[in-house]
Amino acid sequence: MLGWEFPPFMAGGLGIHCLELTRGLSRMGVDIDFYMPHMKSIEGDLKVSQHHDHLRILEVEAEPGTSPYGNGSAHYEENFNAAVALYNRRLVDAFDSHDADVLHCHDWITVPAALELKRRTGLPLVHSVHSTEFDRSAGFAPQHWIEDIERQGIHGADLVIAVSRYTKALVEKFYRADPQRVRPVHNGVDLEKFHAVADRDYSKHRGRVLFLSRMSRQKGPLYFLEAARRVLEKRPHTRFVMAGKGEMLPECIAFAVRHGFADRIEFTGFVPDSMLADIYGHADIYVLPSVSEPFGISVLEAMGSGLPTIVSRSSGVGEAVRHVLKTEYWDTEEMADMILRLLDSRALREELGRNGAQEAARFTWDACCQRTLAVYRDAVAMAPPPLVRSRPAATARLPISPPMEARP
Amino acid sequence: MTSVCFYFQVHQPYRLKRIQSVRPPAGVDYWDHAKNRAILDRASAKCYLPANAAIAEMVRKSDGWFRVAYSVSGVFLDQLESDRPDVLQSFQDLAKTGHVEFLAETHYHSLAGLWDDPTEHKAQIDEHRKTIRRHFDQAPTTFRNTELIYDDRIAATAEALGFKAILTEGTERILGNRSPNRIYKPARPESKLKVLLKNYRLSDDVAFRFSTPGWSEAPLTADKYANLLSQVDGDTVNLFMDYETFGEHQWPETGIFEFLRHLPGEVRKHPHLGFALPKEVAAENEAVDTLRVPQAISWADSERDVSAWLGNPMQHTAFAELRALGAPILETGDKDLIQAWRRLQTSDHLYYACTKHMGDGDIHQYFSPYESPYIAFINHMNAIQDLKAKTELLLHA
Repeated sequence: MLGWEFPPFMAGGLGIHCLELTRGLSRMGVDIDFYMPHMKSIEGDLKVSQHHDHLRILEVEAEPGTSPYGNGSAHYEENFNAAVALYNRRLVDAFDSHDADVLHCHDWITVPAALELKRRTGLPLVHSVHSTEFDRSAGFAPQHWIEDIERQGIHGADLVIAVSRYTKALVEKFYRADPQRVRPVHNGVDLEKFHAVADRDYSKHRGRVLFLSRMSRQKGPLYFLEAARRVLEKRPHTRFVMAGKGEMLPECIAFAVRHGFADRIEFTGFVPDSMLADIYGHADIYVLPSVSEPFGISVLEAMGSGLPTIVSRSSGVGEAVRHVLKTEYWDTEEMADMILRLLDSRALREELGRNGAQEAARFTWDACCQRTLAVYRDAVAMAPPPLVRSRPAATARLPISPPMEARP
Repeated sequence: MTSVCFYFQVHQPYRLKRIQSVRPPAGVDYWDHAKNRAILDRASAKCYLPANAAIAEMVRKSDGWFRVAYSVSGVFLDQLESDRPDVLQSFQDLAKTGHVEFLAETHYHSLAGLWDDPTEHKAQIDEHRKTIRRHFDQAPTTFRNTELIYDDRIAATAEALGFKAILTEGTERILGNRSPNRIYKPARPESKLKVLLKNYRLSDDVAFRFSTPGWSEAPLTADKYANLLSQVDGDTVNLFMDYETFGEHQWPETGIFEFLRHLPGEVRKHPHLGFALPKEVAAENEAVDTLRVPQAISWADSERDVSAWLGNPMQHTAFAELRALGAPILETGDKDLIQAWRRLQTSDHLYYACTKHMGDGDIHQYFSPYESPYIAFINHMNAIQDLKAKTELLLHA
């Protein structure tokens, strides 16, 4: 398995996904070599943990870790792209197929190496798409060279795992993927730390509406604020909480100031993992107004915390749950109406909250792992026997030029 | 001699248009006229017109030996009157055969019967009686409460209004091991009301199981069904079902209309069977025992209680809000406001907010115009709250 991050080194959901996936698959008897870049931690001598048997973590020397999933304003900068390119080159060199049956790579950042390794070893390749450039850019000035890599990965893999039917439809539409080869597999979620706040008293509420997400165009923070403005016209005492950081934070603050409700809104900044349950626990309504959300685990976490939840229709999780309210991300009137009715009605909060918590608990990593394993089996069954079983020569270049060099 | 007693329920609610509190509607015209018209047209083409024609012909051909009863909700008749007078005419043609009984119910197909104060319930029954008299020139003596909801109080209300008989579900919850094929009376000693109970097995054989693949009686043919009826031991077998069974729930391809057309002939082969109207069954048979029903029953779901409409806190909230709105809205004396309030009481609005068995492809969602019960509740409540605001405005102006 070719990855990018793994606990404790991670910035986004990919690290969690890889941990849960390798753990679950191990329990089902799958042996996994997991490749990731060697990370130097600024906090000292953090070591990536092995976590469980049947898993070997192989750290490939690369540039100090930078994340593709938003370390504030640093993401998508050129040193990051260079780090990705270097990691992919070194990964190909370091790779040893041993007796592997299948290759599995995650997102575009591991695609170049995965395609080269498939070429050299003949191993069947499963490619997980956790998000696409369309999602991350919200359709606004996507980076075409990344789209090219995503397209190559989707067409080069034997089978593609999409995190949702929503994402499956996206890659079929934008990358003309063969629908037969794209399998939707929903994420799981570990809700244990949210159980304490799930048992809430719905008769009391503080009128707090929560946005908890990276503040990027993809997550639709301005739609949340537009809905907030409409809600405040009817209910001036409502409080809004925007948790997370991101490049749109200044724009969000400016919006609240311009419309005169900066005093009704609280910007918390980045929320560490340890604070998540608290944040959900102190909110009364959760809103995820994403413009394009491949899955949206935070929705399941909010539901698992007993929060009535409003989710954008352009999301993967929206297709999979029934005990939420769904709206178009741009329909801020509808969003405001839902918030108002939730604030007014204990019955609605309680019914959505309780049923939602039960529903979220059904998204287990076990189910996700089982479906992933089924994809592995299919990939192995449909692929010709591997050509090479031994360590490949370490000379070839990657098929894709690093973007740095491609630019003038 | 065993009576075969058919009653068909005919009802369509005024479905709501999308109402948002951030942009309140100007008036109290809350209804999605286009959707209501489209559903009315579809059901008319698939069920009401062909089924009415078939029944009318069967009644005429048998010279009234084959006879059936209808309970037609007032809100349905109102929609026919404004949008489909041709369909209304076809129901009136049935009435003119002289062998079709029209039952009384609440005009608004509401749950007002469950409120402590029976005044509103009585007002809605009275309005429906007038509607039936106006359209069909009949004075109903048999009462059918919304969704066969029944308890001791509702029975007392019906008797106080002069009805001779009332219909409800023949559930074991009230019968124990007694037969649904007999006539009963309420437990109050002075009561003379006849209670007719639905034989739910034989009714549901047609309404729900008719086209079910793999069912032991499939395919259900008229001769087979007549045989099942002939084996019933009792005074009457009451077959109560939604009229939309014919052509809409059971598509014409299932052979439901052929089944219907052949039924009188097959029943006639059993000399001890004969068709009868609810009022005739009530008049010709004495009650064999009493029924004590302190908690309301209905014909809905496997629970046969009122949990389809009042099973979760959202439904309780909307129900309580509607009731609380009663006194102020009647005080305004504004006919439009009062009519809107009563149309919002139609049980369907609460049914759509049911969260029982969600996810099992359940019947509630099948009938719902909403994406989810939560949106159903939000929309219904938005309408109620808007009406409340307009009522207060009028009272304090």
